[in-house]
This record gives sequence, structure tokens and C-alpha cells, in this order.
Amino acid sequence: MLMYTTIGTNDIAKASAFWAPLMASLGHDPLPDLDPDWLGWGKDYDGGFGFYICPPFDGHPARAGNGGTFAFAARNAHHVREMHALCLANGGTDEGAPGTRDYYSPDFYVAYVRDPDGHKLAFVFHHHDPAKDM
Amino acid sequence: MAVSDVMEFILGSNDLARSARFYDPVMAVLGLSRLPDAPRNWVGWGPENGMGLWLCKPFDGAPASRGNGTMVSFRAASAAQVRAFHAAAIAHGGADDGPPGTRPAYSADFYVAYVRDPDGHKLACACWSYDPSEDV
Repeated sequence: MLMYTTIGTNDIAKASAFWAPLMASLGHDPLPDLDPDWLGWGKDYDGGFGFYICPPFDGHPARAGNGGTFAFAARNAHHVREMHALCLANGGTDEGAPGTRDYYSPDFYVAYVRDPDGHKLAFVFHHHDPAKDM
Repeated sequence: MAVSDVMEFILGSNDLARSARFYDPVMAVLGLSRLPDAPRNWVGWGPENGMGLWLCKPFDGAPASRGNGTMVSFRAASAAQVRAFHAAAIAHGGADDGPPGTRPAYSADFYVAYVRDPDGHKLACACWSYDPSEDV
């Protein structure tokens, strides 16, 4: 279905410092042979899905869309907490602490952050069982 | 290490009925249908156990807006499917943002079209093993 997605950045060095450890924690490999002002992780076109970060083509500043969120699946609740902390340590900002939410089902364990360009990210473990979370 | 293989993309919508009128026929070109069990004020498309594209009303109550630099790209099996995607989008409330064809900036086998959805989100549909001699 999805082949790739791009999100805009205004500072590729900051974006790299934030995204590289995050993608490593998720197990996604950097994509090779990109232009120096692009970052990318995941699979090539033949292999599956790729996630790219680049300066906008129209030359205007990159901007996050309101309502736009990129959600990544975590392995467990601990992994959600780990990624939330990792993001805050690497230039991201908190947008919602790790935990469940009344709005969703009790097994939906999530944390929200903003990347350095303001894009909203979610890290989700959707089979959360508090009895197994230590 | 297990790779996190499920991801969701959520875009903001200012009119979910309008979004549905646009995405239903456009996603149908790619063989994708509505995702079940959508929360209230959400609508999504995708394969059952894979990545989904969702639209929702922003939680903060402010209008939805598009991100500059943000683009979601769909995989097409052929150049004809790219053209069908582009035509369906324009016929159902989308806007052209780049007609179907190859681009000098990319390789000659990258056949792509760009559109905007009714909220201004940029979408691409690409066939990346394009062979003009097979495109009839």
C-alpha cells in the first residue's frame, strides 16, 4: 500500500540527531545513497516502506500539519517509555507522557512527542497488560 | 531485533465526510478499502494487517492544516494505475499537483503523479519499475 512518506525539516543535522537513535531503537536501517540533505530509513522501493526526511521542494519552511501524527509500533510498554525518553534526550519535546488514555482502550499504551521540526509522533504498544508491565 | 512493522499515518481533516468522498474512490483504485472499527470522528484505509492511513479531526480543536514537506506516497503496480489514481483524485475533490509521468529529478523508471486531497495534504502515487515500451 504505502511506498514511502516524507516529512519536512528545516535543520537536517538536528533532525538526524533526533531520528537516527529513534529509528535504531525501532530496528529500522538507514537507507543508503541518499542526497546529503535527505535522511531515510526502512526499505527500498522493492522491499517495502521507507520513511524520509527532507527540505520541502517548494523552498518554503517545513511545517508540521495540525492533525498529522506518525505512529510507530513498540514492542512493549517499556519500549514505549524508552523511546519517549530517547526522544526527549535528543532534541524532541514531550507531547503526552507514556501511559494509557481514557479515550482509548486500556490495552493501548502510548506516548507522544514532537520532533525538532514540530512533527507529532506516537509510540504505541496496543497489547498492554498492566500485570505484565514491570 | 524485531522490526517495528506496523505504522499509522494520521492526517487532519476539516470535513470527514468530504475526506471519505475523496479517499473511498481513490483508495479503491489501489484495491484498498475502509479499515474496520474506526473510532468516532476517524476514517481510515489500508490492508488489514499493515500500515493504515487515517484521517481525523485534530484533538486540539483547532483547524486541520497540512504540513509543508509532508507527503504520503502510494505504491502502484503500473503506470496505468498511477494515471487512474490521479484521475480519480481530481474527479472526487482533489487537485492536481503534478501530472502522471517521469521526472528529470528521478530515474527514468520512476513514474509518478501528485495530487492534493481536499484538505491540501500532498499525496503521491508511484510505479517505480516503469518501462515506456510496456506502457500501452
